[in-house]
Formats: sequence, structure tokens, C-alpha cells
Amino acid sequence: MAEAKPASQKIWLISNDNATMEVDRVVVERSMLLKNMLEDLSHTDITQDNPIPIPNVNEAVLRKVVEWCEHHRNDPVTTPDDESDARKKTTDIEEWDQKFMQVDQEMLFEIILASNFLDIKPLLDVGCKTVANMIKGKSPEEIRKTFNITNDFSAEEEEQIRRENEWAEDR
Amino acid sequence: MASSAVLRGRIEKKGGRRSSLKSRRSALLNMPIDLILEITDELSPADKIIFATTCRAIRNTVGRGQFPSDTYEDRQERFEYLAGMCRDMPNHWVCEECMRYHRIDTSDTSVQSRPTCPLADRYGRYNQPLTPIPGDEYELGRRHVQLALKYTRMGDSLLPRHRQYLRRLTAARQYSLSYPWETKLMVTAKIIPRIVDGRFLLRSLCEYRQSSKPVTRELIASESVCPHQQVFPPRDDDWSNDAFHQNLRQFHKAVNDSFETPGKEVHSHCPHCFTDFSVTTTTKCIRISVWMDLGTESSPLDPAWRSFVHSADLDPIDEVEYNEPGRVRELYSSEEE
Repeated sequence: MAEAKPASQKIWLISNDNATMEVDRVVVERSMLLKNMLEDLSHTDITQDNPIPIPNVNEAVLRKVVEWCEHHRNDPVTTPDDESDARKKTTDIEEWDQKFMQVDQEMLFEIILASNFLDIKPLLDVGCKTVANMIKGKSPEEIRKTFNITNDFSAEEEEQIRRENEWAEDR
Repeated sequence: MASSAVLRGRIEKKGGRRSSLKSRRSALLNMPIDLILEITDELSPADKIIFATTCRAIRNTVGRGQFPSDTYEDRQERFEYLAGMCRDMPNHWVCEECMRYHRIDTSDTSVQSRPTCPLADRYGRYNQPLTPIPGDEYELGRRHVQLALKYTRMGDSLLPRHRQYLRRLTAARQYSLSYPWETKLMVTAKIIPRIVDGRFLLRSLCEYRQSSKPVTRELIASESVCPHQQVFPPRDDDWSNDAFHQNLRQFHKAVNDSFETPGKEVHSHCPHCFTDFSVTTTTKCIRISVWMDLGTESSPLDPAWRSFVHSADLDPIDEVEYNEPGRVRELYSSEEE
């Protein structure tokens, strides 16, 4: 990295529906994809007139992702080792993140896709845990209803599944 | 300066274009496989096995799943599985003794216990009932809690026979006993179950009235408010000052306090299960109110339930830490009829 990056340095992003937003560089750097990219560029490369394009992410989703990054701008960066340890320990989600994730399903999955693409691992984890919590403790029919899934098993497949779990049946 | 075309090129090289996805109604099924696997990584083995029975695409993606090889974990997960699957089965309950489902018998209630388990009378290691008032015939089994919660959740989709059964499962019980010749003592008791926010709550109210002479602690010597709290806790002089034993003396303390402050309702709680209680004493009457939270419609191994009953492999005392005194009482009162 050749140049110093002042804390207040601004970066401009443009969503796939052409909304430009100005964001602090430290906030943008929650995205490992953008952080690595910015390190390769001169700080004059990104301007309001020449923002970083974020394809596949529309304005609403990008604003949500930026909101999350703003809130978590000072979080310590975790190493991949820390992450795997922390992830296995708990599926608890901190309160702010829980509220942040109270969105409709379409938005929830869009946030997951965007965080995966932008490589924001902690946001991806929060998204996946939120979906996992919507599955936990539910019956198959409840899961189907929650996610609009159609039961498309054939009679033979149903019978196979029943046999696998025969131990549970009344006798 | 990098042009916008160059920036777009860089981003797209990193995978910025989403692969063409099949159009389906379900946003979840539209997700790339690696992200579905990230999500299922967060699930317990039991939840994963249940998730894999929802549709072909999920089963082909996550596999059928496996229970853990460790015996203890295997047992936990199998009960989680049974509890999850049974949520869709109004005619079955999950048996702790057999680790499988049994069909319901709609005459089986807490005042007339008829477990449809072939092993119920033979072993009885698990499936132990809760008796909120010692000596009373009200014996609430885990299956009663489980079925009442399930039927309440199912609500409008219930068949009339299940709706009637739900009414019997959550019926209040009231009785009174009098001892006219000895001390002119009259005991009245009331047990009122209530389901609030998917939790089974139980309130009991016990009143000892004596007209011949003032009431004493000895009148309620055999009373307890939960398995951990008795009026006269066992003496253990070597240890009785440590925190653990002090925690077992909450009811004892509340009864003493109430005798010192006649007419005042003394509130307390048990730190080892979700129980709030209060004691009020006057010259002629001792009144004991208890509010219990018996947990949710989850596995029969749910610590909230297990902290109230003894069973073969678990000591109920170490399971739960209740440190929000008043929570159960407030939750119960939030839906006062």
C-alpha cells in the first residue's frame, strides 16, 4: 500500500440500480473483497464520478449492508481460526444484529448473498444463523410453510425416509 | 485512474455475477448450494435430519444426516428429532422411557394418569410426573405438557376431539379437606395451568385455615413449593452455610419471614427451577402461592421440565439457574382471565 489512508477517507459505491453512496473507507473495508481491491488502487481512483460498481446488489440491500458495516466499523477483524472456533460455540446472535435481521425473507437472503459476494464473513454468519434459527426445533411441515417449500418426494422416497427413522415409530 | 469499466471488470472477476439460478417460489431454494450448506452447518444433527425430509432438493444437497456416535449426544439428538417430528402429529406423544412415539389416549390427564407406554409400569425410570401439591392425585406428566402446548399451537386446525382433550389437559383443579375434630383445620387447594407465549405455566394456591388456635409452621411441615424447596430443609450442619445449601432454604426463609410480618405477602423464588412463590400468614391462615414455568414444546429432556422431576440419569438440581425472580409470576399474570 503506497499511500496513507486518512480515517475520514471517503469511498463511493454504486449499486446495480445506479444509486451512488458515500461511505467511510474504514466501513467499506469490512468487506474483504473491497479492502483488497482498495489496497491495489490509488486513493484518487475512486471518486463520486467513478464509484465502485457493486453488481447484483441493489440499493436497498447495499444500504442494509452498509448500515451493518457502519455499526460494526470498530469490531476487531477475526482471523479464519478465530472464526471457526467462535462459530461452533454458539448460534446466539447479538441483540442489535437480531433486530437488524428482522426483514422479509427476500431481503434476508439478499443480505446473505451480498455478504458472501462482498466477503463480509461476520455478516454472512449472522445471516446464516438467522436462517438456521428459523429452521431449528420445527417439524418438516413447519419448515416447508416457513420457506414456501413443496414436498416433492415420490411415494418410494417417502417410504425410504420412513424406513430410515423406523426406530421412532410407535410399537 | 481506473475507469469504471476496469473496476467493474475487477469486481466481476471476483465472482460478482450471480450464476443463473432456477426460478422457484422459495427464496431459500434459490440460494447457491455452498450457502445452503453454510446454513445447515449451524443446525444440530436432529434439525439437519428433519430439514432433509422437507423436499428432494434439500435432501440431495445436505444428505440424510446422521445422529452423533457419542451415546449421550445421540440420546439428546434423538429426543430433539422426536420432538420436532411430533409437532405435526396430533395423535402421538414422545415417550422418554421408550425414546419413540406412542398414540394418545384422550382419557389420560393429570387427574387420571393413563400413559399409553408399554413400559410405564415396568420401569418408570423416566416419564416421572410432577405433583405440585404433595399427596394430591394431580400428577402432571411431560406428555400432558407436550400435548397441551402442541394443541394450543395448532389452534384452529384442531379436530373437535383434540380441542376437547386440550380443555381437559389444561383444566383447573380445586379441592378442599377439612379436619373438624382435631384442630378445626381446613385446607383448600387450587391448581390452574395456563399456556402463555408457548410455555406451560402452572399456578397452585394452597390455603391452611384454622379457627381453633393460631396457625403454626408445623401445620405445613410436609409442604414444598418445588423439588428443591421445603419448609424444613434437611439439616446438614457441615455444609449448611454454603451458597448451594442456602439456595435450598428460600421457602424456609420466606415462611419464617411471613410469620414475622403477619398479613404481608412475602415473595421469593427457587434458584434451581423456574419457580416463583409467595407466602402470606395471618393468625388464622397460611396461604402459599406458587407459579411454575415448565418449559416449551421441545424435547422431553428440556432442562426447564427436568428441573422439576427426578429421573434415572439426571440430578434435577444442577440443570437450571433461575436468576430472574418474578419472571414466571409476571408471565402468568400477563394473561390473567
